[in-house]
Amino acid sequence: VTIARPAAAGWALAAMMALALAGSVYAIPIQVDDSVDVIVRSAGFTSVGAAFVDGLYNSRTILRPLKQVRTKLLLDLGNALGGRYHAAFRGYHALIAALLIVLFVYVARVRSWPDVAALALALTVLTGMQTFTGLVREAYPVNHFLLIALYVLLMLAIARSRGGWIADAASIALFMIGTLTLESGVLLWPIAAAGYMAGQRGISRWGLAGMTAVAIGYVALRVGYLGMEGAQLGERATGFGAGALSSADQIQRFGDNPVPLYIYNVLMAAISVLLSQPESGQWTIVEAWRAGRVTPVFWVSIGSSAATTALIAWSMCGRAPSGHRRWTDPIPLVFLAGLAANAAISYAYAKTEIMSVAGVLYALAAFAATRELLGRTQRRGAAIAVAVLLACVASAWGVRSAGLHFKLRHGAFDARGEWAAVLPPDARDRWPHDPAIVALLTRMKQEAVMTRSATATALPRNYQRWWGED
Amino acid sequence: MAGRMARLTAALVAMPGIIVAVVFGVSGAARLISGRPLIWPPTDVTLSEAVALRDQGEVVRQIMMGSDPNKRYIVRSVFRDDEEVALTPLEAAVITREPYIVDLVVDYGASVNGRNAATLQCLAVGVRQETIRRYLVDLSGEADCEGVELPWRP
Repeated sequence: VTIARPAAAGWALAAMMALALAGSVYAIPIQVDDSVDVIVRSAGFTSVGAAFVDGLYNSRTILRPLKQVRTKLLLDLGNALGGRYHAAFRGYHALIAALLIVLFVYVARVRSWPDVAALALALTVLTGMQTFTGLVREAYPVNHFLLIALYVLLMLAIARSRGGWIADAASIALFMIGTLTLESGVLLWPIAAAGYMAGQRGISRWGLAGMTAVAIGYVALRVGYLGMEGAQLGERATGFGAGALSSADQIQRFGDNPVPLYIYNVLMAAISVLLSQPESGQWTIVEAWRAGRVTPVFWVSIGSSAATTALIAWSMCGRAPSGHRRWTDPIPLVFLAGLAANAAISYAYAKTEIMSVAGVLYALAAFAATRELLGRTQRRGAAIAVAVLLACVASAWGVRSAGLHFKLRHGAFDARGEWAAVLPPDARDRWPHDPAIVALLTRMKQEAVMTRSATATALPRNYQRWWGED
Repeated sequence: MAGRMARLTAALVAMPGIIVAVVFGVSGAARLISGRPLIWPPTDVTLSEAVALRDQGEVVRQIMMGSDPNKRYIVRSVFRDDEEVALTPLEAAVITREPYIVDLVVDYGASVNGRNAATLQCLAVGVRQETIRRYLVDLSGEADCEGVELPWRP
């Protein structure tokens, strides 16, 4: 009974957080930017197979055939629902976001009341992290970064299972699905390997061997068969120091030797998860400081991240009752491996969403560290200091988590507004020629515009000082 | 004593997360069920207010629902606190100083003609928006601001 009640409280908390997230995500209309072109393209495929094949060959640098397959399936679902594309696309996004919360709680395994408290904090860390915003605010039209984060948690759940051939087969299948969804899917391998090294046997050696074979096959498919290239220098703008480098700037400064830029990107990607700065490689606080505009959002985000990172580091350096260092426990080790691997794949340019897997694992590590701290018996003075410090940290993360919903309202406002430029009534010459596409866009525009959202420009400007410019 | 302190610490740690989860969870549930969240719900605005607030989606919705883009509507406390003024969507668009909003309102059926050209151009001069003034001149020809009464004091 003592285990069941805290577990039930944990699940109740998860349900509320999932509902909160699903409600805010579902309110965002289908976006025009990055989404409509993909949907229109999918409408041209006669079958799911055709969408998959097209996804194999339509780029020299990216291999995401399952992204196109999902788009095609959701478009077909929208058609089957009688033209309810919002329900299909946005419902799917909201569902995946809610599932992520549920899986997070499942992996955390709440057993006691202190665990419930640690979970409440960890859920605000998860949803308040800057790496999380892009997972739920953006859609392309399916957010593949969110899917990879979900697969990572699923992989951890398999790794913590009792194992068996079904678990091995599931992990291999999940790895295949992940790599064919987004390049970040390769992160599933080091995460599974780290879980194994930490003593989790849900995925056996044979399972890991199978995943390794899939990884080799993936590289062979990309490089050998499809002749694809990795991300190139100057592929997109990236932050550097207190400023940003355009593609041309990168080639001019690092064209002869891009290694220093790559090292900078990798290091800053890792630091951004630990400190909430830099943002996409750029130390925005420096610019804000120079301009005399260091708003509370900087102190809240950097302060909460620094304190949480210190807590995680303290926990990892400590010893478990059995005598081993805690960093070799499953959650800390998986976090370290995930952080390193995630930063490594960010070598070419900095982008907040790319680090989203490390962000999710950071929240799990925060859960483990807080649970550890709450479970300790301390002297009165130390206990009061810990209580005050943790209350401040938890409050700051609460502010950041609430800020996610504020940003999602802005996202809904922006996405709805984008539709004004689609099928402008006084410029029919700019409309597509295919009547079927016009009908599809007309329906999607009607749904987007009729989905009413808060007027973000009417919300108090002070909110942006605490939750950031959007 | 130590147990009470530990419980208090756990409660302090849990409280912010619980508050966020419950407040936004209930709001999210309301959004999923009724289409209207409890936190930051959509507010009712007139067409000119939607223009003034640069709410493009709402502008398009109201025009699609039959609002006349050439009529005058009340605008409350948008440009100045405690101000209530009757403006056409185009006048409100000019006052925003945002060319894309003026363009949007024109795209969705607002007319610039002999009757309102002078008012709009003089309003653009008043808010020091030369880009918008030139755009309006292109649509209706140059107008003289002499003796033109503006619907809003820049």
